[in-house]
Amino acid sequence: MNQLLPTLNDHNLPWMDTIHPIVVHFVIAMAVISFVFDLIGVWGRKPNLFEVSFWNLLFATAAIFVAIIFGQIEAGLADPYGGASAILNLHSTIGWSLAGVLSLLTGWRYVIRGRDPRSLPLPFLGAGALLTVLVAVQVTLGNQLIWVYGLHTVPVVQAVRSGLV
Amino acid sequence: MACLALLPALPSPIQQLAQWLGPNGLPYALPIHPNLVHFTIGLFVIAIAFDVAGPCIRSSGGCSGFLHCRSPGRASTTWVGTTCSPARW
Repeated sequence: MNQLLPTLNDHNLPWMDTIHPIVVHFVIAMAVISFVFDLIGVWGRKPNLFEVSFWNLLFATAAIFVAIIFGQIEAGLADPYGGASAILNLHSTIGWSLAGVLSLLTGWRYVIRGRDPRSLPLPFLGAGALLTVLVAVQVTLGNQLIWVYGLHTVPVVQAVRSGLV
Repeated sequence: MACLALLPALPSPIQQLAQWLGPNGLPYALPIHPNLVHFTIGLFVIAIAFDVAGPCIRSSGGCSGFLHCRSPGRASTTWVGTTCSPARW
């Protein structure tokens, strides 16, 4: 049965390098810029930006599910050690929560846009701020997994395979 | 030219800073550059994607109809907020 599975390379992955950090570029950028455009739209009285914000939010929601699929596969192959296990668990939990939050916000935004596309209620702006904070926390956790614990880097994979960590 | 020969003997700023650098070779814990390029890559790519998708979204049916994207004349995703809204139909 194991012979049917693809062989893992020196990053402990069946593909060249991690894909999750590439896909999250889109989630992070579009979720944050959506909130920024909402802020400018409300305070700068530029309601045209609400349309840009909606589209960015919609595609951030689509992208996060792709990010979660690759994130789960790569987390399963990560062999976390020491404090990395707790951080990876929290990163996964917040990741799934963000998918829910983004989906809810996009649905809410769709209704708002259908009723009046040129205004935005302040509670939605508050929800956008919460989303941005969640994204910032999630990015920090992801940074620690890569830059502190080095998951899926060649030296760490070699150390794990040799039983050194 | 004699002065140039002395250059390798001089301590470099990097060596002087070494005592303050962390495991990543930085004076702070996590690198900042990879976090900023999220925006460069993500927004640039999606801007191009919107530009490509914009002219393609012309029908009122299916997904684009559900998202109220019918836009006479110009493409909705490149014309910010004026045509891609139910209020302007």
